[in-house]
Amino acid sequence: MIRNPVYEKELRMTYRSIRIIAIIMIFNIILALVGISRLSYIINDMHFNGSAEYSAMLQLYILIATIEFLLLILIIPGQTSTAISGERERRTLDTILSTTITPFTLIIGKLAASLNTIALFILSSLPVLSLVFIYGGIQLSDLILLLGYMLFTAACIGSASICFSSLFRRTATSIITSYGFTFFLFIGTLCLTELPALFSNTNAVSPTIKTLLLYFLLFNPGITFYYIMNIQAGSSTAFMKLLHFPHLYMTEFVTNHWILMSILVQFTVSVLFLFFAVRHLKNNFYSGKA
Amino acid sequence: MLTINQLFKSYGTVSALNGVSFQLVPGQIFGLIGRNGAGKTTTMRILSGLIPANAGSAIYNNIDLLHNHKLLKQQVGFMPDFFGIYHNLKVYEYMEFFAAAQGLYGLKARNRWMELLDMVDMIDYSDSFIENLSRGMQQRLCLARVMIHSPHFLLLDEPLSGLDPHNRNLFRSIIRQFCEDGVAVLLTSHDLNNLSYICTHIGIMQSGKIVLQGSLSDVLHDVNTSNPLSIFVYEGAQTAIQILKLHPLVKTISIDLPHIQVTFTGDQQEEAYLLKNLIEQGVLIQSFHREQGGLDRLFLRITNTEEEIT
Repeated sequence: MIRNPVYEKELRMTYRSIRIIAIIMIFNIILALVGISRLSYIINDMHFNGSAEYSAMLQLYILIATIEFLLLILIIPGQTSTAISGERERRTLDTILSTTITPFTLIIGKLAASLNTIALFILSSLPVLSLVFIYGGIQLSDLILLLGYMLFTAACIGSASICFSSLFRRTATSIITSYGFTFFLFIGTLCLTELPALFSNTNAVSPTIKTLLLYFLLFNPGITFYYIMNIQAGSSTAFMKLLHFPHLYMTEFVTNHWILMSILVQFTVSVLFLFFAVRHLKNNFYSGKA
Repeated sequence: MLTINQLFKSYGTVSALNGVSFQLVPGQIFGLIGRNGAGKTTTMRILSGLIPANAGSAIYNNIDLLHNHKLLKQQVGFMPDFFGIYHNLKVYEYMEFFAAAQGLYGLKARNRWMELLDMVDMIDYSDSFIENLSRGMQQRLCLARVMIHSPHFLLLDEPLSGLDPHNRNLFRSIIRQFCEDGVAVLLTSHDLNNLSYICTHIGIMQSGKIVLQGSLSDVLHDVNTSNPLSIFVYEGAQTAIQILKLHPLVKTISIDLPHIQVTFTGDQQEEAYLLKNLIEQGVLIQSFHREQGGLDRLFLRITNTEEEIT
């Protein structure tokens, strides 16, 4: 078995702090408040109408899942962007790298520990998400896909944040850049696709550029999440509308295999971020700049 | 034995090391002295594998450790000047983490950290949180930590800074104990008094070079023989001055009666003959001694500054 001392140390330090317990509690209180209040509204509605609206339960599921996804996106950069810069500020980076721990082991250990924490957030939210099983409408496989994708998104944003943490000496800079990048990923890429609309004559923008801009959405985990929600709700029409399909130019293959394609793109970008994090730490640390 | 040959290092156009060479011999404590920016920490960071040298080698058993990082990190234990610690870890967890970082797990690791904590007198605190320890204890813990993988060479950057006299003494005796076990220690300090208490050998660095090195006793002896003779004359000062002026080993005379200060290049035997001569010529001597010079005097003389002495 391969053991990573950094991962083990991080887990010890993270779960010992009262901060993480408080954040998990707040996270679940928000989800529970939203879930229970929506559920009570649905039940009241049933009493009033005398019939059960199964689509209402689906909406409850989408509501809880979306809020959980948004909360996780807010939490992940904060969790991971201090990974390396924190060690640097604490003056422990020298100490760690003077042992046989390599920059790769350090980065992977930090990322794995952050993912472990995010997995705890996700698992702890299962009771609230399970509210939808009271009346049915969602399958277990749907839930597994959703939670799996949430963890994957955590890995992607976590990789980028750890890279920034390695690049910048100061924790504050690393945190700001990580949140800025996350904002760009979710909102910026969406705005990019709307750029052609800014031109008075939309024909002035070539179809190729419009298509290329559309491909930027593959980087956006929010779009993939939206697609998953659409599929689980039984229709992907809304998603296709978002892509302006079919009058724009994205290939059918990409739109038909959106989840796979976007995961591949996001995975590649994450690996690149990790590669740069390790390389930067190696080059700059060993040249005395870190 | 670790033989460091002609280490060169520059940061851009700024040259940090200009051919540093010395040897670390098992059982020896080699103290590096120098002003800020003289290259002490750069030398340590190169030897701990944290930064590469532009040129030079560190030969151990015919292997250049600077080109074999894995072996280097197995053979060297490094304690930086700002030793970072994890406040919310317990002492034994901290030791276990660094044991694992050096590839030691399980019972082997446990036995080793228990032995080390015992050595640094901290075995009773193994279950305490590090944040609750005093600075001296934290520093001792770091010293135990650098020895976790039983390195042959210990690099300690300013290990005695910020310690009270009791902890300083304790720290010195722990380092000596490591040396008795065959470890070679390289340490830096601005506190030259402390260095003279603990080091067996010293090297004085200036502008990225070691300008003087040797065993502490030899170096201090050389310093002493180049110190002036201080003579207090009770009676017969003029006779004494005449004798001193004619003596071939007297280079300069400074007179502030009844005190006469003489630059005398002779050894202890020639000092004795001079004293005998003065007495035989009827000079009444109140006191006759060679002014003692410590490391600080030597350091000042070589680096020609008083700025950095603490």
